[in-house]
Amino acid sequence: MTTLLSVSHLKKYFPISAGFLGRRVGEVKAVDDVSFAIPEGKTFALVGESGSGKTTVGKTILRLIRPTGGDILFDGRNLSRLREGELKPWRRQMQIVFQDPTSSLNPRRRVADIVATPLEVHGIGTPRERLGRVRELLDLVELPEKYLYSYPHALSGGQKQRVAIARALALNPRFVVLDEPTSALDVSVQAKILALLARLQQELGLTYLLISHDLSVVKNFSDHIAVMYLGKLMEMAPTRELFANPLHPYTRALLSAIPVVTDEELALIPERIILEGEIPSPANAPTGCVFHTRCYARMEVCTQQAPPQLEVHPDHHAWCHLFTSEGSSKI
Amino acid sequence: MLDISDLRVYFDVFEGEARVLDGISLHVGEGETVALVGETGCGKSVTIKTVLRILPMPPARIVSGHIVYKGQGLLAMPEEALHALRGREIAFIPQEPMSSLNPVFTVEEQFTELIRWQGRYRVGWLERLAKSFDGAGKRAARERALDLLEKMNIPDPVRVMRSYPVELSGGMSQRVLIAMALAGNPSLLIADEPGTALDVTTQEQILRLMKERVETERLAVLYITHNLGVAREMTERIYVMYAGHIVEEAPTAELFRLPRHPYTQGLIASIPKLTGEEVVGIEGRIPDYVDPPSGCRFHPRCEHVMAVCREIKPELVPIGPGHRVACHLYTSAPAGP
Amino acid sequence: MSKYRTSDVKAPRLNPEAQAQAVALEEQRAARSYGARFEDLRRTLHRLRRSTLSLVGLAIVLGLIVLAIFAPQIAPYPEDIATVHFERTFQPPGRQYLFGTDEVGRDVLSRVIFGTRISLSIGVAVLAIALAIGVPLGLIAGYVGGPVNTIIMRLTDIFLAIPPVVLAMAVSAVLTPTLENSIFAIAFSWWPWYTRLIQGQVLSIKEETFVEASRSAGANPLYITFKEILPNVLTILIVKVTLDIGYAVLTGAVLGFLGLGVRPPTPEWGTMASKGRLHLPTRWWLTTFPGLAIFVTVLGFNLLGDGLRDAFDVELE
Repeated sequence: MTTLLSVSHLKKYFPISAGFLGRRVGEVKAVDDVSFAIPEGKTFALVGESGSGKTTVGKTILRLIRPTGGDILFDGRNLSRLREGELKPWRRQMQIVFQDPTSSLNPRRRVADIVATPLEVHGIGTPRERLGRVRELLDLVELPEKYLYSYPHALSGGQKQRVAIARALALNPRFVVLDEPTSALDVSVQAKILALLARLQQELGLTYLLISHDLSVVKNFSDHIAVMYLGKLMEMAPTRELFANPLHPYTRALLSAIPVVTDEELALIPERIILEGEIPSPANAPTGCVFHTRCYARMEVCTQQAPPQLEVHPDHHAWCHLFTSEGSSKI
Repeated sequence: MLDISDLRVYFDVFEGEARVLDGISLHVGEGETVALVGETGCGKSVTIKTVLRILPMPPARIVSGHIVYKGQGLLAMPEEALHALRGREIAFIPQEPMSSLNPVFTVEEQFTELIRWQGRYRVGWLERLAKSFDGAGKRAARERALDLLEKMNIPDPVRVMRSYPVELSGGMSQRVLIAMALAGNPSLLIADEPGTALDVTTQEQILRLMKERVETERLAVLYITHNLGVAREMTERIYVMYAGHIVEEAPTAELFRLPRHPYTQGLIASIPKLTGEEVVGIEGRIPDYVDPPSGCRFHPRCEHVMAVCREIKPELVPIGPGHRVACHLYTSAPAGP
Repeated sequence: MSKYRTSDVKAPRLNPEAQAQAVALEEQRAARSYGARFEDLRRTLHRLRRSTLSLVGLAIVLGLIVLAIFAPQIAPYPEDIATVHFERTFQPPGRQYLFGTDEVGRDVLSRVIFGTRISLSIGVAVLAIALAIGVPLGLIAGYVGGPVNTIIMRLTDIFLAIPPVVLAMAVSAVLTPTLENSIFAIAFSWWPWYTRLIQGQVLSIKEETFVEASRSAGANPLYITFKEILPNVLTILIVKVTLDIGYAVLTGAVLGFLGLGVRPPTPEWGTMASKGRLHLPTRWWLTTFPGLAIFVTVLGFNLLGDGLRDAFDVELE
């Protein structure tokens, strides 16, 4: 399977300014040395809690944020150093669906105008042709055509998200970033939207980057998972492998915290692990392994050295000293 | 302990009269943990706001019903008596931990103030002045606050007391709020979406802690949540609410094992499972409260709809021990789906 | 493979009855949202109707507009705008001359009615110019940011440091006193308020996700500014403009009163009041009625503006 998108050593540092003159006093390493590759037609999930940098990764790939370092290879072309003007043709191929459909749709524009935005921006078709395309798109996302001239406030959360999906698909992109596409929705609606996204992937051969904190959603929806914590990757593996054999202590804790509703599910998750403390502020991330302050398997080395990437099993990577020579004795 | 019967709350809005709560009855027994579960806009928040009498009226209007707490009617209670009850006997944990503390006072100022004046409705300036010289009282309040924070597993309560709310993380604010809610030794705790604003690993800590505290204090708790997983973990009994109606009531284990109402079934089937079962979802959307569907409000979205569903609102009928359901499938026809 | 195979995506499992019902419900809702544009207006009017004072404001403003348009038909002596009648000077208010007559025998009522035209055109023209300058500058400053923002906003601050009336007086003192020049003078002191208002709005709106969505579609700043941001500042503009027309009329009258505005015999309220001042207190009607007209106009726009602000639920500064 060909790789559509690959990211290598991606970094995004946000400066922290202080004082009257906005002097730069430090930086937040929102994304620090993240690498992964997404095969065409597959769904790659980035999982993490707030402050993990998962959304920043998504936005940086789309170049909504300029990366500090690293490469973004899309279909063999490096996008990380293109200027804003040179990006426009690439924007047709990669789109995004945001978390909160209420804020991602302009409250003062009608559905038809919102969905037509990308077409209009790229100067595609006459207004009449664009309207035709909008109708097609609404049909594709199963939104009744009579909402064509409605304002977003007349729609329910699920319907708004359908509009946002229609807008993202207007230019026939190959790659879509789904930034928590259902976390603002109720479960009964979430199921419908996920089913829609799955169908669209099948029909249109889309490649997804799914950004989520909900492991139950990710388990059902993705092919590959990367777990992030404070801007760094912790573990990366095919979905089935990750759930069957979680290696990193953080992944284990995350899995154990999944709220489940059936006993069969309960049997699938590791024994409850309650982490101590809370996620430190990304502005002053711990030294060594960023997770060491909360880790239940912490060793001396963790406080000093950041763990390297280790391929523990084929295609199953972990960033943890437990799997280096120092830690191997402990397991 | 808390008994709500036939509560109807309507809102006067531009489009007309929104019948948001349409005959809600629920009760919470002593030392019992109960969840009120429903999706956005089902009326669960309105229910608790009515209980606490913090609902803005107008536009809201209580049309009928009673709310009885330990034999006292809450709806007709004078403001002063209610004030003595609210915050002491009945404690409330709000949903948004970050915005529920006053940003310009330290935790200590807010917490000791709360302990010293709790339950008082009107305080004369003379008394206020006198009490401000009461150093012993202040110290006692401080001790009590520290003790409560410590019980919430806060590692450095002295530092937290000195902090302003912005200096606290979400999880820490949530702990402080829970400690404050427990300050009056309440016997009923109402928690609105506990922990949902927090990250999963932090939420897990908080829920654990809350469960522990509830058990040691033998509190009755009413949880309001949209998260069935949380409800399953925290409670003994669950009410499922849809569009201003209670559609099902069952002991927690029973509800997940054998949900009866089509809405409950749909809701549970909508949750993505780790076991990878098919996720279904429910067609349609929550109805308009100004012009709600006749009869059973779920009927336009229900896959088992019958003629009777459009005509008559189903009543909650017992169907097993502690299990009641409001659905015509279980009244007119004996067999379920 | 993803767990959501296409086969999982079932057709709705509703039975035909329920389906029909669901469709009907959907129809109903859509029918309502079709007229969404008008729904906003209806909602606004509904809220406006609940406040008596804003209705009074609306009535005053509409009345003024009618007076201005149909002045020749409504005024009892329309020819008095240009002609003098020395045979009937200083008639006190009475049956024949409701507001009395002035030092050259002109009917004060007719002149006050014609004055509506002058005052409203000052108000409207001033606001039109202020908007034309202030809004684009605010949009540019807010969206582009950086040094451009600094230059525009510091310039704006300089203007804002001088009270508008003083600035308008200074400008009109230099120019010949014509209607156009007083409009220019007032507008000159007016636009910075709009630049500041719009810049602030743009700063907050450009952080919204829908702007980011537009950017990810490849939209350029021009598209984002005019198609995404501008529609969102319209309501606040409408409110501010309504409130400001009253003040612009007042400023015009102040200039007239100080002899820096429109010259007689143009029936401008401020000028009329100023000339009548010489005949106080005996011939009180010469100043009182133009003064009342100014008062009512400013009050009307203010009440309406306040009402609209509550109806749209926007916050000004």
